[in-house]
Amino acid sequence: MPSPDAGAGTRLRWLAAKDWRELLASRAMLVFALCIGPLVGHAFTTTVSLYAEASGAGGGPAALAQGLSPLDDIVVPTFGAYAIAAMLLFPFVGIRAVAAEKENGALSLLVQRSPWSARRACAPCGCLRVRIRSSPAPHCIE
Amino acid sequence: MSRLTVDRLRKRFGQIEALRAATFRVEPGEVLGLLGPNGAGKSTLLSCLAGLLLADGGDVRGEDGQIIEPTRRRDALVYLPDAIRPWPDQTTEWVLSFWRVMTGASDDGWHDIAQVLGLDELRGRQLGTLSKGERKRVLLGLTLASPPPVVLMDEPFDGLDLRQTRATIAMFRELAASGRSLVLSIHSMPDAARVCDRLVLLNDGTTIAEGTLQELRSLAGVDDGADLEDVFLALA
Repeated sequence: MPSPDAGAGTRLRWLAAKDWRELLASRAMLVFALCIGPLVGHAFTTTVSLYAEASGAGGGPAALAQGLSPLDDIVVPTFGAYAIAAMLLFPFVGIRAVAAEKENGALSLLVQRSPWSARRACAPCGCLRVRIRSSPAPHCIE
Repeated sequence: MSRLTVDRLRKRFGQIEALRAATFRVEPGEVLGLLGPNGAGKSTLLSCLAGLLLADGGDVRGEDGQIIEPTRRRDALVYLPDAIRPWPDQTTEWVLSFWRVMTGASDDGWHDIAQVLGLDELRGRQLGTLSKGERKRVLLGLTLASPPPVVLMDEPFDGLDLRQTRATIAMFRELAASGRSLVLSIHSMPDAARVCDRLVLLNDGTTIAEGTLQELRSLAGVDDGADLEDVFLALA
């Protein structure tokens, strides 16, 4: 059993752990993983195929192959696809999790016992929105 | 001074006036029953008191006579709504630990409450797999272990069997004897008559009567032997 006289930091950690456990157990996260898995897998096979073609394995110019790097030309495009999918789909997973808490009544208990005011409790959501908006587009990552 | 004084609380949902003038007081160390027909505004009243709904008018005052704003009510009271099914994928043990950290519940009352409600046997099970009565026991445990002196509960005996209901009533009496105030919204008149020190009758969003069963009998003009159902029907 944890100590009952936990500070705000401990409460925040437990709250984050709760959200993480709820996310992992949610059906939306499973759908998210099912969508993103094939997408990233397809991106990986495509980039490997393109890399193989460009590196001269099929009899292409050898000079082009010298400028290629597996890190830049396979890993970055593969996780570029992951970044796009995560950025587009993950907010919906989060929204589903909050909606589920509202629907099953957990939110009505949590807002009563939150150590922070509603405005402070919502601040991380606002920061997350700003972070998503200010994230560089995948083509910029490359 | 009363622990909590509710003065002419009003709440409107569009054209529907759910609360018109809910007025009553909660004394230290008492079990107060909130009775009323369906749609009387009992759940709305409790949600407004807990700050989950913003009332359109009226005041809630503490022991010092000062108005308690909705944002500050979490220090004064805790509310268990009816028919909620929170955190279905988490185990009872994890939820109890989580809630203990969030509320800062002390060890003293925690073990007694867990023992009376039989929570130890449910520790390894997910909340979503519990029966209605088992889930209600866990939620009662979470609520009663919370430190605020005033506890609001909507239908606390819903789903409990006879043995559990009796044990829970005895625990409510003990908690009231230790100084806490419990406000229960109850449909079952026999349960209300057994557990409550005083009763508040709500009808159409308005408090129509408040007092002990004997005081309500006098107000309704019924015999001294009349039970709560007779009093309720005479007043509501």
